[in-house]
Amino acid sequence: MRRFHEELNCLHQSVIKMGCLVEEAVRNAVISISDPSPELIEKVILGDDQIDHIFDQVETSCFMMLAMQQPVARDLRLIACCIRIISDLERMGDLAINIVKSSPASNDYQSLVASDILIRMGNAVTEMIAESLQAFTKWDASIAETIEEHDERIDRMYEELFEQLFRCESGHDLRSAIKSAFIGRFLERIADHCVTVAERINFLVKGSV
Amino acid sequence: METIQFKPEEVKVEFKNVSFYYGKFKAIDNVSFQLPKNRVTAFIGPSGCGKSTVLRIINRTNEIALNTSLEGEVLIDGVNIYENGHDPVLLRKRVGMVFQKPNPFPKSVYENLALGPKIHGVKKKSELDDIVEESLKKAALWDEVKNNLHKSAIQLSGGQQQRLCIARALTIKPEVLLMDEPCSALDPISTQKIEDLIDALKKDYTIVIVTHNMQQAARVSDYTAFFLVEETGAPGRLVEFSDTPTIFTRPANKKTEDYITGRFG
Repeated sequence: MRRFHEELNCLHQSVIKMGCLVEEAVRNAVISISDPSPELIEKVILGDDQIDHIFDQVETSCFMMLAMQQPVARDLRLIACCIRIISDLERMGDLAINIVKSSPASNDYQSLVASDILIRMGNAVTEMIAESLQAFTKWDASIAETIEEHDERIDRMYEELFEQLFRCESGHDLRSAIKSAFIGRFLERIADHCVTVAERINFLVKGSV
Repeated sequence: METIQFKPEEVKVEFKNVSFYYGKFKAIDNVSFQLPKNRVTAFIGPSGCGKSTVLRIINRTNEIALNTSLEGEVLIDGVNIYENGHDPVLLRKRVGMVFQKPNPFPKSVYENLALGPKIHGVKKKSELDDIVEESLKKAALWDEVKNNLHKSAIQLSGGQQQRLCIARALTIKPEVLLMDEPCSALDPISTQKIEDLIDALKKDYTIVIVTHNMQQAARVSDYTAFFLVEETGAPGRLVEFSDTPTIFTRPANKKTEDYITGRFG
């Protein structure tokens, strides 16, 4: 039983580590919106392999523990929570790659339309990931409500972004405007995954959804 | 203490503030709960927490030990079974029991099953034959022994012996079936058969099972009661009584959670 509890601690730590890598990837992706550095892009893309590797490890150990230990109560909730959280984290990592692939450094334009809104959105989204991870680390269910509020802010920024894009004068680089719309969409999706993660943490702590 | 109140018509057995003593030693303290009809309730808890004592209170087999006493009320169908004049022998006909180790009489399969009904006045051979067959079928043993009813019960396998003991308990048509770790001496296949049996029997009986196997409690029971002794020498207490899915996914009491997740005990 002691070994099982040590394995559970390792599992918790691995998911936290995966979350930190995702947070770093999204942070770098947000920087790439205004900083066209090829190294940054490479870092995000290569970093995703490590995220995927932890995903596989965590998934395997969750299924092993379910089969071998028949966990119950908080142990069961932790494993169920991890299985679901890692899917959200993995998707966030992929969305970070999508962002850097749409950034100026990956394309032949100088800057993105409405990049100021994108950076604000990006910073807010990165903050959401950090807060979710903090809550997961501390088994803190109170995060769910705060994350909902952040998500509404992100949705408002997303609308603001589109209003600005619609107001674009002709002569603006159309490709850059479309990429901005995509990046806005990717960031909005990451925020939605954070909401799901917060819901999973609520289940982890309270046992109800 | 977290517990469940059932509707009066759903309750088969009820403990009201029950404390039990072996001499001066208080084995359980102020235990109250209700056992619903036609449901399986599992008693879990570490060794010495009083769960077997609570089980044996239901058919008054504790009284076989000398110098025992009980405070509070134990009701079956609303009647206090510890009232003066309540016959423990008749009570034990209504409340059957199966033990940890299979304990068939050293007689034939048939005689093991016919003995109880004979004592309770059934004399006709054809009627006894029917009871034997019906009980063996209910205990999922008929197909395995129908051609060897006069073989010694001792020659059966452990799993078959335990099903024989369940069949023997059923011959006198009890209303409540108490099982004290019925699978602890059995292999996984026999255990599965007994668990399937428990599931099939609950439509006719109210079943209580004491088990140290958490997964078994989770698999077979509808409700779970968790008992605990807080410190050495202290009496056992009921910590939590809830529906089994709740106990095993989100127990209300931290002590329950610590126990079922193996953090103590």
